[in-house]
Amino acid sequence: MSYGRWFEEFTTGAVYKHWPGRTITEYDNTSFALLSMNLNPLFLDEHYARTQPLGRRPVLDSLIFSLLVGMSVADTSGRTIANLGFDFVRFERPMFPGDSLYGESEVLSLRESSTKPDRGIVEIETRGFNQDGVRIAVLQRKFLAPKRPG
Amino acid sequence: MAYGKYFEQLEAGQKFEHWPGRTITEYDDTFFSLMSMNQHPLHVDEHFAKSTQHGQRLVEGPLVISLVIGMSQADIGGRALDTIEYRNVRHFEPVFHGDTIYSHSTVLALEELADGRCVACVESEGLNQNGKKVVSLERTIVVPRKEAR
Repeated sequence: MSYGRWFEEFTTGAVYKHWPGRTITEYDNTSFALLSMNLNPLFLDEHYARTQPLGRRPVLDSLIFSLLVGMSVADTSGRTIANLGFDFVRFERPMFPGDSLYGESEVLSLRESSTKPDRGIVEIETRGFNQDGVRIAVLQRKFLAPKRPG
Repeated sequence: MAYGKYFEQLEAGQKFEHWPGRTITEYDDTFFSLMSMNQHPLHVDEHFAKSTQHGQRLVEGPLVISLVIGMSQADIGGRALDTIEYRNVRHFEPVFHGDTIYSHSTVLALEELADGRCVACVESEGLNQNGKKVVSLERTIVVPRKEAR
């Protein structure tokens, strides 16, 4: 029964392969676009999208981002007290409905909090891949992880 | 009938107040967290959340970020062909169920890349109903020209 890690359970350089991955459906993409008020027809209108350079509707960048973060939480920030932000989120390749997203995270650095002895700052890089192993996106973020109580 | 801008319509320094805002409901947050595979109990377990710093569930970060991006599309990125990256994504205040998010954006820079694509760097901030800044980020997006050169 564990979700996420205590600060002591992270090791600099460790790589966690997240499982399971997830196929992004056409419904996911349309629903996500509407829910987030993103009405760019590139994501919503197949007939418009056919006239654009990619020739079809890609998956929203914000959906790839949200899913990549979400699928990393069980192995990384599932006990976090606070997310400190993302230094960058880079989108390297498009995804299309029907593609699957898989993720992995590497611990870049660990630092004890200078003010609160019960926590530390974890910096990770999370990378997303499609079903062919092609890298789709990479991000770096920091979060506060609590130390094991007692 | 315009949604978003062509590259020629953007200028560095332009500011946009996006409208309308949006109230984030309990359903939104639970649905969004689970559909994005984030099962952190701070987002999906009210009884767990009661024992934490804020005493209630917090809206998941990527939901607020995705919403601020989405809200800016009508004024800026509604014709964008691609997103290259987000940078300096920062959370300033927690967002709770029932809070309403408003946003504004500034065009920081415009550039034509060596491969001919035109990009805009845009800074967006999300505010809650009390005018407190809750999130900010910068994005680089690829925007089409109206007239091909």
